[in-house]
Amino acid sequence: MNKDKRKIWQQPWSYKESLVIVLGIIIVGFSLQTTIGGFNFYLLSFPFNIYIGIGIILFSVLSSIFKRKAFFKWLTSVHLSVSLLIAITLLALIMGITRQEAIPLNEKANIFHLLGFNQMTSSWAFVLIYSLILISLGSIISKRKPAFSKKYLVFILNHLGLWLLLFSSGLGYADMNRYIMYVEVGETEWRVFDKEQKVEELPIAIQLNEFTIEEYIPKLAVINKKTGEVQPSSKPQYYQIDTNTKEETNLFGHKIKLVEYIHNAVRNSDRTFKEVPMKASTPAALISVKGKTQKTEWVSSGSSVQFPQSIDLDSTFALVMTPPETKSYISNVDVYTKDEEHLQGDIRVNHPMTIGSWKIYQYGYDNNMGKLSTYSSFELVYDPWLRLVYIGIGMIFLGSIFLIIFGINYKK
Amino acid sequence: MTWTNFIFFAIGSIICWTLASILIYKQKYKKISNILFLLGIAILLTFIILFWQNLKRPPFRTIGETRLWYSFFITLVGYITYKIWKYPWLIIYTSIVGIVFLIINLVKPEIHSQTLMPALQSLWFIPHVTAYIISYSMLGAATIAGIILLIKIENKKQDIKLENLIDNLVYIGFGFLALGLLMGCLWAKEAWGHYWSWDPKETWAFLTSTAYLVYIHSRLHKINIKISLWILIISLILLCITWLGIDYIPSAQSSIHVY
Ligand code: HEM
Repeated sequence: MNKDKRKIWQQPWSYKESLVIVLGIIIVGFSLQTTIGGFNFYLLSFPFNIYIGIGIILFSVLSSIFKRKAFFKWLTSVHLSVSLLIAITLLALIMGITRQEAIPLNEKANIFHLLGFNQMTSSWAFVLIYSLILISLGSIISKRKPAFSKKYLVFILNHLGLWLLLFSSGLGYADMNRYIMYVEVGETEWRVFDKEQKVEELPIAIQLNEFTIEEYIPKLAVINKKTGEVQPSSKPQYYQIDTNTKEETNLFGHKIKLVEYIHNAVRNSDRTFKEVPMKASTPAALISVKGKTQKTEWVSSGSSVQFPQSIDLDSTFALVMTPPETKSYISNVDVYTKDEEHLQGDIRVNHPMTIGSWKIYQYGYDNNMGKLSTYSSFELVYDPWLRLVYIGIGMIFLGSIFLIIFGINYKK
Repeated sequence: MTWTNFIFFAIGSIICWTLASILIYKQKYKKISNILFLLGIAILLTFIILFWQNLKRPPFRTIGETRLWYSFFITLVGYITYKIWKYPWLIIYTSIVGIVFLIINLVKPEIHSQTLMPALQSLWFIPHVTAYIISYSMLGAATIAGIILLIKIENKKQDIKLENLIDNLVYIGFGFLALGLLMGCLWAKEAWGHYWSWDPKETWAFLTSTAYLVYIHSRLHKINIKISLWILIISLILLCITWLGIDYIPSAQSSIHVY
């Protein structure tokens, strides 16, 4: 390397200048932060994000026209790219090791708060570096001559895809809205609470026809009757009920064997259960225990309206059934929008419903009531930029697959 | 097949891989070494399949389970790369890493529950985790190769073939890393309503990817390769923190991805 022949700041700029400039930008960001506070993303809401977007695109085209000028050469150089990537990695690293939250009410702002470390993504340093990556990447893409080659294909899919992703998620952030809506079974709702807990009416309504919860088969455990601690207390041991095998197992010194299991059970008499498929039901199992005492009895985890039942093992320990874990919760709904759209179907976790620029998610239910919950809550997300984000993700996805298939061989 | 049977399979694989590593540098036993190495992989795969059947859900949920896959994929990827590039150290390296992860699972298997919370019941679950684990194996191998190259450079030796191997492993490894990340975004959108929320684990995944992008781009205009190799080592450290260390970072205690 003959780097010493060229003095710093003499064209063409290389790593030294790029790193210094990027560092300078970060310092400017921190100064802005301490004087005027964090960046307000809502300044970017429609239509201002459109203006800025057009500005960035025009600038990128401009820089491809003047690509022989020293400044634009530098703006699209690998040197600047690497420096920017280092900068964003370091900022994200700070973010990764500091708590991301508003300053707690009873605390005074310290130096990290002043620099915006606690809300990194809306700190000026982060926003400036992010913007410069967007501008530089745009110029890099528009400068490069299109060609039918593997090399160009990999380049354009990864870089244009990433640009689209950064562009639409950054500029679209302010246009995104999220609401939580609570709907009683059998009712129709279109009102939500906004961030200030004020009632707001949405152009979309949800009618909840039915709400159902499915539960996993619960586990068995031995507890200390006085403390309630699962035994052995140093390393709690659970036995997953398995209706297929009905094997005898050893649980904390007691041989237990499943005789019968009922997923939807209600009390038949004082200490026995029978199958009744209704919402108030509870899982129950008939267990034979061999130990100091031998017995075959029912154990049940109980529900919000049924008492749990345990099996006494001796004076200190008892066999209990853990509350069943939720497998899935499903809301059957009709959704209507102001534009006269209508959809009917099930919404559950991982299976949201899409209607126009809205997505509706299963959010929660009344945890205390479990299966007997009388309402279901939904998260409604409005994101008009989502399609662009997905196109970006799709392009990088393809680009990555080509990166895997070709490796470095496409360079040849 | 449950964790109680694991010890037999683990010991089988460990013996196969140890013997394969001892024999790989001896011309006469090269073939046997190859067969033993593959046998070790097959034994582990058998356990995983039987274990999966027993659990009735994919064994991808706990760290202990992902370690199984890591052992499997790193040895598999190691074998394929060895076949292409013919470096015997690849067999030894991947054997050591594979064995270490099996031993950790023997000593500290962690609790394994049979249930899967609703957010994890998704089509994205398996490809997402698989892509990450393959990527970790490739990038791990690239770093070992990087360290070997650094030592060679200290001894004033050049190895263009090794340089290319490293770049290749990073390109492919990064490809899988990006796939894992993007599938994570799509999944998060379906499960939580937003494709990116700067949760601590997401932040760490992000900065790990950008660190590898620094390496990839630093190699385009050949700067001193020693600097690039150090970037590679740092990137792997960040990767390991993202995968294993996140539970211990105070800022991450609220992460929705810590189980
Ligand atoms: C998904 C993320 C990215 C991937 C997978 C990626 C990958 C690559 C690859 C493989 C090359 C070599 C391609 C070739 O020589 O044709 C390359 C070139 C380049 N990349 Fe990236 N990159 C990514 C993001 C970025 C970012 C964020 C920047 C800028 C801040 C950037 C700037 C550049 C530049 C300047 C070149 C050289 C282009 C040229 O020679 O025309 N890349 N990138």
